[in-house]
Amino acid sequence: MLSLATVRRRWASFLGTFTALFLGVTILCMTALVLTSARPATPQRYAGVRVVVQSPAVDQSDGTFTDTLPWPPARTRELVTALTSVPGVASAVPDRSFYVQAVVGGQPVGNPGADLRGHPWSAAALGPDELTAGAAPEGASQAVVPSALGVQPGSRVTLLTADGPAVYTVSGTVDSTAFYLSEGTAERLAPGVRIIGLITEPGAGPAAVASAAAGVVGSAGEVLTGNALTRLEATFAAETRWIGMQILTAMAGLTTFVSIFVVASTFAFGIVQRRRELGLLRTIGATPRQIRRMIHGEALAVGVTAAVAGVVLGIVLAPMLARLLVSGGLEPEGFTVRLQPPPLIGSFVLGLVVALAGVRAASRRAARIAPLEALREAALEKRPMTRTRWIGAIGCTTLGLALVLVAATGDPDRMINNVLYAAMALIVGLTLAAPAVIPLAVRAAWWPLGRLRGATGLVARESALTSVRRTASTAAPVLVTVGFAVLIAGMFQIRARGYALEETVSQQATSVVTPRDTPGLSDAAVEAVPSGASLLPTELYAGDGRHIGAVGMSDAAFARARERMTVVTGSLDGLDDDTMIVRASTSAWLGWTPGRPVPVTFEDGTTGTVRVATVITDDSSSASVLLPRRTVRRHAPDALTQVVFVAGAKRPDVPATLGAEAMSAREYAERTDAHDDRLVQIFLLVLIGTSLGYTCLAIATTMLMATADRAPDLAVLRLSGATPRQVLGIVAAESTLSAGIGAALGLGVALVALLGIRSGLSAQLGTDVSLNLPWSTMALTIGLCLLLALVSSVLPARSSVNPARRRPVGYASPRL
Amino acid sequence: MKNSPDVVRLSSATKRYGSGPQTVTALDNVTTTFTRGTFTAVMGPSGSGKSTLLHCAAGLDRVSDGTVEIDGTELGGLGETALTLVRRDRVGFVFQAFNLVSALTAEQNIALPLRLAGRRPGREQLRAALAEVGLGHRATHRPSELSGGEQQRVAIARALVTRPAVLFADEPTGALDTETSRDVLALLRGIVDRHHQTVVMVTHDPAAAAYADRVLLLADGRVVDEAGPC
Repeated sequence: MLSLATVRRRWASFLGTFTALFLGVTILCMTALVLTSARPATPQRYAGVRVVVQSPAVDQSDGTFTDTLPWPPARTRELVTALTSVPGVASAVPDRSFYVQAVVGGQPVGNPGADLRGHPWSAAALGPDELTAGAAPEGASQAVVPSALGVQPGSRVTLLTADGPAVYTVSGTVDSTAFYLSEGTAERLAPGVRIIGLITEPGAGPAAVASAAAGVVGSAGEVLTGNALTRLEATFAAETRWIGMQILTAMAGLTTFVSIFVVASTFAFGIVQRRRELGLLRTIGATPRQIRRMIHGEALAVGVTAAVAGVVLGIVLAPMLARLLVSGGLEPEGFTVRLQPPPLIGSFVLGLVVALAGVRAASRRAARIAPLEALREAALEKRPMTRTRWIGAIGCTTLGLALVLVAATGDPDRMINNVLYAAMALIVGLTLAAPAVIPLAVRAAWWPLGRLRGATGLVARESALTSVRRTASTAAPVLVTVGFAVLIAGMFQIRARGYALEETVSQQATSVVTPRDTPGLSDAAVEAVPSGASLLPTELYAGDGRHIGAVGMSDAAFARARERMTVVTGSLDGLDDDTMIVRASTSAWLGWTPGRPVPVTFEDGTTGTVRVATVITDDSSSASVLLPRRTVRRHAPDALTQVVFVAGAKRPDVPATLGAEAMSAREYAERTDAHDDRLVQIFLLVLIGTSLGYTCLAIATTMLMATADRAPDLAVLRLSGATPRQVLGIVAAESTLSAGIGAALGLGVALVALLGIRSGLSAQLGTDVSLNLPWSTMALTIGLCLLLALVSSVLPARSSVNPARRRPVGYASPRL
Repeated sequence: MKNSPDVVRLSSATKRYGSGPQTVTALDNVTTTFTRGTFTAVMGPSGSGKSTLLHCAAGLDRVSDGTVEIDGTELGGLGETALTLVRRDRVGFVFQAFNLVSALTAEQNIALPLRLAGRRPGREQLRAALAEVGLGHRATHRPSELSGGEQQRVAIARALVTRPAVLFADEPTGALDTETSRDVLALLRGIVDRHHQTVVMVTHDPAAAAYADRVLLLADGRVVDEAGPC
């Protein structure tokens, strides 16, 4: 009865808790729904087959989402022959996949980030992808294109491949987004095969066919059937899904943390404010246990309402979040939210748990209130630092620092999440230690100002020192906001630099040729700039599932970079098509010592012997292996060049039909930053938005509560002769002081975590890593916190000192 | 023991605050009793220890030396919960500040001690308690809708609803004007006379003390004078 009555009557002081919980459950429910809906799906292209043979997987522990090890053409033919003879198999269809994009009206069409792929016509049977008009392509000059292009069979269309543009005659159209070319063209562009689909005879059981196929394939591949078919998900779809998961997990973690934090601090502060009322209840016969139960009852009442409301709003907002993630490229196209009970129940329960966990410490403190406190007037707080608080503070801070170390030295994949956890632990530690830290901080901050000012400084300082708990609860949300915002923004401004190859090649360029409306540059675009320096990325396979990132350097690129590369052993002279340059760490890892001929498998599936000519230091190149561009092109006909650097005064002239454009080197640098930042911007927006929105709420509530609490003090100040303006000055000074302390501590947390990341990345990448503090985010966040703190303390204080509304003496009568 | 005429008994009660050279002795070896059905006023200058005496006698605070007994129960050996139960069942309080729970109506405030004790208050009982203090018509009003005198009457009704062995009042008229003070004191006097209720009241107002049967004068933590009705 008392719990409900209290919540009903004192709704204002529960507003902060309610809103925090409500938003928290909304975000949790939304992310949980999206997370559980995000599952790998078998691509539509393979919907028609129930058994698929996939080439051997490679090690994925580096988190690069590398494709499986391809079969070379000869091996593919052997496998197809062997698989066709398996009982129940009508035919074995190898799938090849390569870049194709249509050029309509002189412009490449389609989203460069989407799946612009071509396949041999035979692979259409795997869908099956039926013709909507026309016929199958015959000969190298015919193509089947998506009907969405709006071209009719018989008309001509320009298609871009890694070679460059070529004109094809449309033989037919399909409903899907895929292009189909002749077998010969497909084999030339994609010699390596990773998937062979088995079309089964009517009545043949997939399980039987799969086990028979496994006997034929042996260790040359893996037979997938049933649920395992979801592993055919395109690697880029898997990667976007993974990034999406990371963001959602971080968001859910951050939300849970911040809402527990906000709920705990608003409850705790509420208890401090209600000390007299609780003391009174103790006096008239409430046992400590009854007080605890009452406080829990209040939390439960607030928790249930907030959790129900949050789940409902979460259901409404989840599809919007899904659309945002899809448009941000963080979830594959076609991703939709499925409404399922477990995430809904889960987030409801979690909301209640957060409410009860948040109120736990507060209810214990409430139960310790002595009956005599009902009789005390003075607001002097006893023992702000209890022993448990010390233990908690030291424990959390140590844990936080340990986590920074783990993040710096451990698994790079988990680095971001580890750093977030580290920051959380540090924030909790500092908040627990606040009663001990804040007096020091107040004295330090006020030392230079205290001697300048008159009464304002003195009163603000002393009042911040006397009510350490109040100062701590107003500083805490600022600490969280500034800490997370600066950390997250700073995390993405850490830039690796100092790789000699990339740096010299790009620095010496005056202009560049980059893709325009295409995912990369074709050979035709690269060759349009004869003097250009370019890097062609590819993947090399070194056996036992090991794979390495490599680049093919054009002669111009090598000529420019060689001066700056630091040779460990060997020489940069006398390199030919069958030699490679290897980074020191790769050389050590694979045992590729100079002079040694080593077997290397390329993207086309063929294995060749390449001699290690030279070992260079790690900061000489970001790619592990450097090869001549010719060698890479020979084995990876589908690879696209990302950029061509051109030295010389004249800007090259590149026709738009090539899907390329020329620009100055400076323009390019700005554009790259903007592009790199797009994903990051979304990530930042979501994470900072979450923590900022939340803690702003906390700042406003605590400030409002604290100022209401201070009304009698302010009345006393007025009675002692302070003008309303002076009183407001004192309130403003104190808010600034608390917010400033919070901001300083938050910056401290962020800086420690960022330094941890920097040393971790630097060790991992083998080059200098620079830490660029996100000044704009920093200024914006701190400014916003300060503004909120001022507005939410000065405005209510103004109405309480305004002589027109209330006489100063109005507060002299005691009030509960 | 229950029928002993002494409801509260203090023997050599001493209360010290702080330790070492800064020790303050607020109550110095006080021995006294409060007899059933009497109205005692405790007087003395500021800092004389009158409030400490009240807090210790009521079990709100513990004595450093000596013993305190309420209705035959020695408080020294009781834990916090047991002490709370003694207070709940046998002691009522009225304070200077009216100390009502602002979220609850007058009637709910009065019912609170019974509910805390796990008892279901009867409607009749609550009506009677309100009528006793002359507020039968204000049952559903919240504290903010009551005058100071009315709030203090609600507090008195709440203190009496558990039929405590003793009612302690700490400056009950301190925040009231003269006329309202007279009403409240007359109410207390009436309760002593009609219901044989024991009342111990701390006050610094001689006019308030005039309503008492007995006046205990404190200075420097000791009883320096004791007088019958003036």
